Amino acid sequence: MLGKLLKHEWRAVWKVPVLLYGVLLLTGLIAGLTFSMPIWDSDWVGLPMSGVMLILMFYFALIGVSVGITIYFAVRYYKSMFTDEGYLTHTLPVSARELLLNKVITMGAWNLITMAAIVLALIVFGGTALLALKSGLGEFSREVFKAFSELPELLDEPYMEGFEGFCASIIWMMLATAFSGTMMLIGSITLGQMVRKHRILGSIGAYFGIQAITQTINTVVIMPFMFTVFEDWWWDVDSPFYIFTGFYVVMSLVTLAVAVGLYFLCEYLIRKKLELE
Amino acid sequence: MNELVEVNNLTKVYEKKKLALDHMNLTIPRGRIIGLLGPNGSGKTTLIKLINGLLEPTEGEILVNGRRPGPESKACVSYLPERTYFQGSMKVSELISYFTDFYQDFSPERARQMLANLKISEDARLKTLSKGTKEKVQLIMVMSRQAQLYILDEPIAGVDPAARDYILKTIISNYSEMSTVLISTHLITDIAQVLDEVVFIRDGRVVLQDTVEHIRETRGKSVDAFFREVFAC
Repeated sequence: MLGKLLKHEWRAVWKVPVLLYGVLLLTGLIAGLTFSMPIWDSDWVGLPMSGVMLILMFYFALIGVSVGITIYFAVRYYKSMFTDEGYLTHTLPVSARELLLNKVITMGAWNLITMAAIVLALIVFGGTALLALKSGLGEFSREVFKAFSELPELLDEPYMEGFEGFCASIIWMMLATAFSGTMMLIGSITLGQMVRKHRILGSIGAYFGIQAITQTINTVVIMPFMFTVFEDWWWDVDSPFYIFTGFYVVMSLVTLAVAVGLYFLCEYLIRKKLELE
Repeated sequence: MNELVEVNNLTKVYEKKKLALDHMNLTIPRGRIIGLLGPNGSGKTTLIKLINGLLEPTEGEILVNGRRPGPESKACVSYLPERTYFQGSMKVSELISYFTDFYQDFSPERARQMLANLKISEDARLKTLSKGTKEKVQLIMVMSRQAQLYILDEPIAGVDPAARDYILKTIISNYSEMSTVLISTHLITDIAQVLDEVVFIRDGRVVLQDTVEHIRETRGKSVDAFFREVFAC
């Protein structure tokens, strides 16, 4: 039955995120193409500010799409599980575990796809911008390409030691966030249903509560690690990347542990405390 | 086993200590059309939600086919809530595919036939349909299953008299002798003609369970008149 749930869930949700990804990629393409305009090689004083504004606008588009998709899935989860639509969801001949796993897998998968779409949009933006600048070959273009050509040399510097491991920890953290972020959302909404008269307010309150608990656990777990780092390690290494890698791995493990705990709590609440209005 | 549903000492207390069901005992046999009747707030919908596993009992138990509400009981219960509960963006055809996938006892051919009879297009999205048509689609989906227990919560409230006739006709024509239909309603006059048995509920307790025929014979009244007498304010 889980396979059937996934099939119908996927069929019901794919259109909105795909539309938003399309908007994002188009924005990246248009933003990148603006670098082919002759103005970038002019002496206009507002040029640096325009560049910053352009990149900021693209950044806001990335954030907007990411937040939009998160809100879409949160509303979808709430409506299909706890409003009138829940009367169909909870009378299907499936277990609470299958219902919840369906949501976690679908939302987690779309989180990963959103991350991939953001990376793709950055590549489209950067690639289009570089191609546009290359065709110009003015002073501004030369400066940009010079800066890029110096990048590989940076990797040989002592302070870049452990950069590869740091990149791997970022990828691991993104994978972990796809699941923990999903559970944060599902956990908040499900816990919020226990406040029967103010379910949405309850969900918002639960979100901040879960965040506070996660941060507290993070601090408690990371504190001894920090002391070890600063006492025994900090002075022996030239690169900060080892330390960042350690922090990211520990933090993602803590959020994963909280997410697993939230999963079992949600399953219990859906099985034992469900009260549809 | 002739009992389809057994309700033993069932109690449901909502928040703020509101007692909805009070140590209720009830047995629902197979092969009947039963009216679940009672005034507003008597506990009809709470009982229905509990049978469907949409609420957890505070005390006592419900057994459907000898099992507590769960995936197995949901597979043999076809439930029509008293609200619009399908996702508005779905097409009628998608709804048929959805029910076909999840309910082994669902007959898409029967659903398509009933939709065609009512001239409801399978390509229509639910949000584009009128409230009455949506209710008809819901009823068609629910009655196109060959379930052991059909639970219809206020199926004729808010629809016009012609639609009421259609709904009652649908219930009777799709009901098999081994299955039971439990209908909760206030509109007793309209529904009395199809009922075999009635259950009167007041303040979360069963005050009477009897056949319609026996009520007529012993009380010399219709179910509607007897209901008015029992629940007179």
